[in-house]
Amino acid sequence: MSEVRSPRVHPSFLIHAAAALVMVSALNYMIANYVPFSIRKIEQSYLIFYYHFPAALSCLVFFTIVLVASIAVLRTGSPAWDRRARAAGEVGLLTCSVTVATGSTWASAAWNTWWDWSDARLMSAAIMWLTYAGYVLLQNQVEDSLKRRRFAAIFGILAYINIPLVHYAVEWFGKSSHPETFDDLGSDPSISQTRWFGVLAFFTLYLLLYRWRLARQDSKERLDTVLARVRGIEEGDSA
Amino acid sequence: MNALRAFGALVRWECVRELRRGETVVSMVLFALVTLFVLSFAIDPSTETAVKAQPGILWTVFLLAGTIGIERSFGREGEERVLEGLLLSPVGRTTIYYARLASTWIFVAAMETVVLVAFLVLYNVRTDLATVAIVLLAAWVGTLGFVAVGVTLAAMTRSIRGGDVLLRLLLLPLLIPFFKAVVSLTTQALRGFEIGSREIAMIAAFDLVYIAAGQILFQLVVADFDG
Repeated sequence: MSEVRSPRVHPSFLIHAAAALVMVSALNYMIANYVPFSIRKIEQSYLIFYYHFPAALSCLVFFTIVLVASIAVLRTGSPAWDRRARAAGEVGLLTCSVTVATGSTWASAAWNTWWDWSDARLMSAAIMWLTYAGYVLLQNQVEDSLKRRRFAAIFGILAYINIPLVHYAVEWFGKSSHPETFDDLGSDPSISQTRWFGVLAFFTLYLLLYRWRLARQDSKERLDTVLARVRGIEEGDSA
Repeated sequence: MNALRAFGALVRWECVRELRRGETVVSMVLFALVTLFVLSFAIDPSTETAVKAQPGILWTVFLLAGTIGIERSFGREGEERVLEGLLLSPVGRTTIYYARLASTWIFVAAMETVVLVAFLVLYNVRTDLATVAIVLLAAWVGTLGFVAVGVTLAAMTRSIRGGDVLLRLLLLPLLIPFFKAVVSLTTQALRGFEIGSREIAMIAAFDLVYIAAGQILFQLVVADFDG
């Protein structure tokens, strides 16, 4: 059983974690001291935007990774791509949760409602959340690993097709109060600098989580292989 | 045997089976009626709110009842190994997919037709025949995409433990765009407004996207029969 290694944290993982910590702390410092404390109309509540926007963008990135990895799984049947799809699905679901939660909190402060059923972006995000929750459930519910890999990949593609359809459906047949452009946020350069630094900082953090899930997936599969082999030996002994 | 004849034979076989036993359509219709009654207690049908909610109520019932038909499109694992039998037969997978799509569509469309009549009576909807025809046509056309994606997912979830719940969890979020469009269209029809082009565009896009995706992905669902 030469492939069983004691779990050791890769040095690059520690560096990554340190970078994420420093960047998110720096972002918090910038939000507290650098950007305008309040802007017109929505006042201080806009500050949550620096957490909301990176999460929303990361969520789209991770779901795109799910799509690309799913296509790769179907083309090559590779377990490595399946692990990537699986980890990206989980982290995508998490960032989607952050997006919906921060969006809802913001809506409560700015528009005085926790949940605006007619808002296109909020509804798209919520339905995206439900779809990918199903994806993660599917990944966990199928026992046969060959089947699981293929079924999850198929649904990973269907779920992605659904995103633009939902977006247009809610936009066309509902009304939206969500800011469509960033002009409303004012023209102070510190705002746009902090926004993009926030994207970088949070993406570093989410990428760390992704790597962690990927590593965990990897060791879990290796453990399953070993267990299956041990079981095989035991059955061989008893026979 | 060419594909078209195989397709015809498969659809006919399913319809004959259904005519003899009537299980799927009858269960769907009864389930739809029960849901209509439950909803009538949730929203009093005699109020103004219920009149506004009518298209939504109708389509909620169609979708929930329709998933029963979709779930049964391949029989149950272990109980009736319909899909396995079909895959062993000398018929192309695309043909199998379209035949299943067609037969399931016929059953769901039949349920919708019956339930629509019951709905008009129970909810006391006063309207003309042309409006009913528009709503029915929208239901039939829209159900194509609904069934197309449903059949693909059903072929997948039938072999999974707890797959019946999973099917609904995976399917319903995918139906939201279609649901939104078709409810909007039904509202316009029942209120006598002109039908919006965006509604028609969305339903058409939904149909085309999911029939195409379903055809390709169905092949991949049943791919392990190759080896």
